[in-house]
Amino acid sequence: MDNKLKLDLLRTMLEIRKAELQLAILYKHGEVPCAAHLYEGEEAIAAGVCANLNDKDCITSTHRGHGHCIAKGMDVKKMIAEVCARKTGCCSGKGGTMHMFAPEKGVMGTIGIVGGGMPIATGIGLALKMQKTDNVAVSFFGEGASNNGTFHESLNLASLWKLPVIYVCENNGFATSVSAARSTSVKDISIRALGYNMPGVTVDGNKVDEVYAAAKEAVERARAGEGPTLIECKTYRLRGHFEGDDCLYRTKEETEIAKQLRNPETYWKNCLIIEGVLTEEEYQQMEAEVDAKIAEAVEFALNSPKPEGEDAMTLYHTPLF
Amino acid sequence: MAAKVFTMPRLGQTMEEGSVVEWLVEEGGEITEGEAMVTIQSDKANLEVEAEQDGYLAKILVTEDDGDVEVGTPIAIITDEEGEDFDEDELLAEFE
Repeated sequence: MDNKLKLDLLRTMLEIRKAELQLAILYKHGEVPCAAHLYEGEEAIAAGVCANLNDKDCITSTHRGHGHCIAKGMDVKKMIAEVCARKTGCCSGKGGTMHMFAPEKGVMGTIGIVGGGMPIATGIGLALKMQKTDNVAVSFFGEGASNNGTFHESLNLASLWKLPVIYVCENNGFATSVSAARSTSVKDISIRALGYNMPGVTVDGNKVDEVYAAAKEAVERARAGEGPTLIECKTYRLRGHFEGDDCLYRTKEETEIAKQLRNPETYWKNCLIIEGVLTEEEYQQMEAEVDAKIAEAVEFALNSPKPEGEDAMTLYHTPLF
Repeated sequence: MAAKVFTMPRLGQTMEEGSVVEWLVEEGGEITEGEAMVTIQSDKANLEVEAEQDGYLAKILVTEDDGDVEVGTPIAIITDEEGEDFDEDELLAEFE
């Protein structure tokens, strides 16, 4: 990793974190008309994986998808506007948080259906292979989704056909309110790769360098035509499943410990300071720049109009002729 | 320096009104962005609501004795500085 990449990873994570914290406030102010599932604490996964991708590589994301959109290069203004249902959003304010797309950046949807993104990414992988490109598809999903039938169907076909797909399991410990220990038959999701004859690896999802390295290897394999990989990133969901979740299924102490000890930005910032790549002053400067960028995006969203009745039937179909 | 109105937050898609269960910071006390400031009862649960900025809880407008108020109703005034002057009528005018 060169120094520019190291700093870019930190900036991406900060952008995700700050955007999510602003969206939490916008939600409380009634500006988000749909449920909001925020990614705070899991930023290193989106940042570390997407740093290996270009605009022609595609991702499918989840109901907790804002981080993936930012890391994959979606304009943060268009993202926040979409979550706030404004006409200037990436889907004209009609999709909302769980239907965000930016095909020009390879964002093929924040899919609200749990496990719904895996078959789509598999299909994209097949298309990319048939078109003889060296591009790849990445599917993000949670450990809960790895118990869905779509996981089995997708990994089986991708392995059989050697498709260029990377399956990234974000194991944040909870499927809605159910802990992984109560829902999932294995401790490490990556072991399931054995059943599909593909490599499987588990990394610390709060350490962006570990995520980046695992994704790099998987992406190189996929680009070389050697088929799919399953990567499990162990992380912790700092917020509730949705905004307004009272989190009675876990203790506050557990969450507080994760917040203090597993903060992905603090970890990476400290690594860079120790390495001499970053100074505390430069970090403050970066944080101020990110704050300004997110504040500008929030202002842009709030000053944008909402879709009107006349917009109801537009933009659903792409004309073929 | 600035003063801001803190309104009854929306804590769920179906929440229309809520009540203050307990202020976790005394009137005039210091607040920290991201730290719990007030417990609110929504239509579904009691939830701790975090401060949205660093500053001071200058004035409490709605207490546990007031029962349910609509989402968006002013429930407190927040200032950047301790003991900062503010014009309450002017701040609340846009919520009339």
